[in-house]
Amino acid sequence: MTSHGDATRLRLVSARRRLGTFLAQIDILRDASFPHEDGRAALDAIRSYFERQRFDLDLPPDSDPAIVDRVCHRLSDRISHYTVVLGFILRSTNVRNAFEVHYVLKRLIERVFDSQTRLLVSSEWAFVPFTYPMNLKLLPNFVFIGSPAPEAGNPLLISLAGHEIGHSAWRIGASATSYAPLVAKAIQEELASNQRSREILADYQPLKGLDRSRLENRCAEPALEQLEEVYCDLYGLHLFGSAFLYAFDYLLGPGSTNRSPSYPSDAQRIGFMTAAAGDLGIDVDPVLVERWQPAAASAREEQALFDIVDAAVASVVPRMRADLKAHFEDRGVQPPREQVTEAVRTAFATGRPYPERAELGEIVTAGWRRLFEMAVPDDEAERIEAERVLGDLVLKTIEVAEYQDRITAYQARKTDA
Amino acid sequence: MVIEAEATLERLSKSEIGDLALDAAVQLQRAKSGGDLDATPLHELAAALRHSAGDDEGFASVSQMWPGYLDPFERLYRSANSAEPKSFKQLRDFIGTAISEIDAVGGGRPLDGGIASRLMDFCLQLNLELGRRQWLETRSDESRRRDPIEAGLR
Repeated sequence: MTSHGDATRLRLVSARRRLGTFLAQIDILRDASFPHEDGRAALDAIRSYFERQRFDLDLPPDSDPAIVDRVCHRLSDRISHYTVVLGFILRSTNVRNAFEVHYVLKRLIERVFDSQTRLLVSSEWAFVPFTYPMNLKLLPNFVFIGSPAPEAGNPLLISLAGHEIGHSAWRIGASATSYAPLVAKAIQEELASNQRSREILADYQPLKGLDRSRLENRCAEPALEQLEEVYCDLYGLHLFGSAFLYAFDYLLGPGSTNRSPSYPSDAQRIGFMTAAAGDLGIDVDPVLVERWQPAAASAREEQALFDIVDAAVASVVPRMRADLKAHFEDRGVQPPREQVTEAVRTAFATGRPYPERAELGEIVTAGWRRLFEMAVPDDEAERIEAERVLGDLVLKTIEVAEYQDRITAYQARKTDA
Repeated sequence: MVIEAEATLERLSKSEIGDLALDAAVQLQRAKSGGDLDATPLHELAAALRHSAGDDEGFASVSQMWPGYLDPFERLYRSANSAEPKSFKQLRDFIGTAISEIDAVGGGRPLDGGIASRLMDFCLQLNLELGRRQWLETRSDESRRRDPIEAGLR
């Protein structure tokens, strides 16, 4: 092959082959057995999207080679990303997953998003839960939640799904657009007032003109990312109450001493949640907030960046807390009710599921409380068995909630008819 | 209500805007080769760039540009002009001119005088700049790639 034309043809033919094998793989997966239709719906949406990618490859023969190469590379990138998603969808059918949770969790998400939602939950090989905040054009109304596989048998960690749901909520609500001006203003103010950090970041040069804009813009990006993470934590707190804090502490306590610019430190996150919990009337066990390790950067410049960004984020969080509170009140979703939570806990203590409709947050919070009050047997096998029984009670109570909802919906349809 | 922002203000990610840039380049190529031009990606790109350049009321007055966009826009400027921008206004005018031209072509302006090639170069470079991934060392046990597809508890 000696010409750009030959290379273009080769690239495009290879791209079409890759696309073809990817689509064929989706067709194979569609034949799997799905516990609910959301998995197959996700496959159909992905297939439809990638089918349209064929048109991208219909480029004129005299096309600029740079365009051909970028289009082929983009397709490879997309196939790479969504191959991971296909794996997630397949693993969501694994019996390791707690299918009992799906119906009730999905109904909860629909109440807060105020729209039809598709939900996939999968037991995944990652230590921390994660989500794919999807391209909303590709998979609108889909929420994907990956939970740690080693904890697949622990329904008390369902509450961490609240954080992942928050990521979808952040995008659906276009929250970045709303909060970016506040973040930008906070960064400007912090750079103006924190001379020490400003001088380090500016390498002790006078800060003016484009240099000032560069530094402000550079600080604003991680600040907005951190704010999203705080938003998601508060989302989990609203949905699951102290169950979210218990699960957060279980998985991440005592917090990392390392920092990423995109996240507040674990200790800061606990602080934000504790403040919000007070506002919402959620009890916080003091032991949860003790001994969270502070995190610091190893380089002076990085620490200066953290100082500016952290302070800016902290100044915007109160406004975000108020907005979230109003958002949930608007949707009639309240934090777990103490009376119901206690009633569920009492049922667990007698070795029975709770027989009435309780919210997911109330059920899981009750589970945590029961776990803490249970005597810990000396025998490890006995401890494991006692916690397994508690886990079963939690799942059975969630199934009762599903049953109650389905009966209510059925009776409503009968009445309408 | 802050949370109930209008759908028109939905924030596209960097990679999504980069994708739009490539879509626009493809349409320009098709038109340059004598085919039909689908103006939709051009108009969507222009809208996204306007938003990213801080052109919205309430935002422009505070910070002038969407967080994290100044660096890629500056690289775009350097690539097009072989020089550093001397001021923020110069950078913003550069982006503004590109936005106007993209909108004009999308609105039916003829592709003469080299405008197709110029805009294709701009769109391809924009696609490249916004598609750059950042490897993020968390200093925990793993290096984590900041991938636009995934977000997590940590």
